[in-house]
Amino acid sequence: MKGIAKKIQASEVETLRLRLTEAEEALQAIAKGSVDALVVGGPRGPVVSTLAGAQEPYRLVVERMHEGALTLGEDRRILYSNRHFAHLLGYPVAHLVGKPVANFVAPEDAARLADLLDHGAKQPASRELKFRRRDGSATPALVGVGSLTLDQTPALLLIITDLTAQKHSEELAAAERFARSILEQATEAVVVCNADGRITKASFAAERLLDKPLEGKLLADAVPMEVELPAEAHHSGVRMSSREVLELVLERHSLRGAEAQICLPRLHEKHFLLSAGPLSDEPGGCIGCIFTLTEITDRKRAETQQTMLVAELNHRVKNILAIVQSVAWQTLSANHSPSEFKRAFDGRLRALSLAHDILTQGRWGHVDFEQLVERSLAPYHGGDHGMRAQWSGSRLSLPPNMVVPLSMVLHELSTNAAKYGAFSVEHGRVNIAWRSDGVNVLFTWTETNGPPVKGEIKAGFGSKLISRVVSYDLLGTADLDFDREGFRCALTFPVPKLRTDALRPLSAAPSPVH
Amino acid sequence: MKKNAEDLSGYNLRLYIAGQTPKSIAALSNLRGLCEKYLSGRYRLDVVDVMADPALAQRDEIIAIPTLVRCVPEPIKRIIGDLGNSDRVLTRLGIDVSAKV
Repeated sequence: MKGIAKKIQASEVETLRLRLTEAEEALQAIAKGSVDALVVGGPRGPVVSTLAGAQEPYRLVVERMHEGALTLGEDRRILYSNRHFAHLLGYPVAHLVGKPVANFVAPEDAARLADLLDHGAKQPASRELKFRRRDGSATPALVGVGSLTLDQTPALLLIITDLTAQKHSEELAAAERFARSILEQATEAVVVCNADGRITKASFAAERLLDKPLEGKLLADAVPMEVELPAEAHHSGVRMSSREVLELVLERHSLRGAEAQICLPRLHEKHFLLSAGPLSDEPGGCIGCIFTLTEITDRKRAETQQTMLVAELNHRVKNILAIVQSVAWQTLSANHSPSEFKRAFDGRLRALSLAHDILTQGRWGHVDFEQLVERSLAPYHGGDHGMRAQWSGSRLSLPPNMVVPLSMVLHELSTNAAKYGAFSVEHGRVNIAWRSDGVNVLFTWTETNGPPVKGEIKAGFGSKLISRVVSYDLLGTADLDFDREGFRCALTFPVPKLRTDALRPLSAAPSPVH
Repeated sequence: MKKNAEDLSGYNLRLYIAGQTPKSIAALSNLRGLCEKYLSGRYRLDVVDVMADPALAQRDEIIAIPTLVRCVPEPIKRIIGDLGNSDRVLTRLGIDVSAKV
């Protein structure tokens, strides 16, 4: 027992000696200035009393300034960090002190930091660097470095200015410039509205189209539109105003390819395609709309014309089939042998074909009558045939619907002359003349030096066809005279009306021969 | 090379500081340097800021700041000051400098 008591006693003595030593060291440390705070008892528990010196005001300035401040030892470990820098990186100050400053710089900037510190040790230097925050994000900062001496030891002083806000502002400004340049260079009319429908931005093309400044104005007033929603849209076929489209888009619906017209007198004949979509901010809220108008007037016109052309083509194909059917039926009824039918039918189809060639070459516009005469007589006149026909007449411009009937008439007259008349003999001649008295066209076909006409001449199918065509298609009369001196034909039909609808060259089609 | 008994176990250290006072900052900086150099991978350091809660100082009967407390290995030892005298600090902590590679 005595042994145990002695051991306990010895242990207590040792503890007391240790405490005494610590107390003596504490006093020495205080005396030497190695401590700068004391924990003293207060009425409500311990209180920390700092031993502020003459440097205290400066320390407070550094602690409270809005830049980060660091001092680094020769080994470039952090000796001191103010609270602002620690806050900037998201660490407590105690975490930073004693650690290499390079630990807190973005890895790609480590070499730049080392270079900066080397320069800063010689003369003040600064550089932009990225620091690595506790959450892993990077913080851009301007770092100024200068040298100083702490307790006769060289050290570095770093002042760190956070550039996050500045960079953000620069990025915003760059984004703004970028957006502005897009608007300036866009060939389409682009209009940006806020949620109140007021225009906040407009492309040059938009202001040029509307011929006025748009920013600050209400969309519904400055760009009044009538929009037809496209087929795939929720309300397809519905016509909406600018205000209604705006409301639709603010509800986060997008429009693509809606046809629109601007309800302004100057623009009411123009057609546009409208695309509209919501404009969202970063949290995803809808803060406005973007409208893009693309003019499609030419396209609309082309589409209309194409639709008309298809209808016209359909009409003409049906028409020509009706004509062919009629010619075939009438040729068949007048020719009993297959070979005669073939010859007569082929000739009439060629006349039909010639008329269409001439019409097509003239883009279904007006055709000069003299050209029709010349080409119709080409198989019998000129070249090896010699000059067997002559013609003269005033300039006569034929509308398309008169070309096929007159072509058929000229074919029948020429065929008849070749079979029985002036073109059947070497010296036979045909004289063709036409003139207008302002109301009617007077056309004459006179054959001379043909073979003598013998006996009673019976009007054949060709004569019937001529009379029928002139009567039904040209609204005129035909006078056929089988004189023994030579065949004569006189046609009278109304002067063709000058067409004024130049935009619809294909609208007038030849009516079928009945 | 023989290590003493204290060197064979890990170190649990607690540094009491008073906010950003110069001596506190110096003590923390000096201690980190020593720990990384001589106790790398086998120490735990808790930094206690008595400015945030002065009552924390009562736990280890702290009277002056900065003070380093060696909690483990026992016995508990206290070193007061900015820990700028490395030899003295290493001796008081019982760290065998020759054990450092």
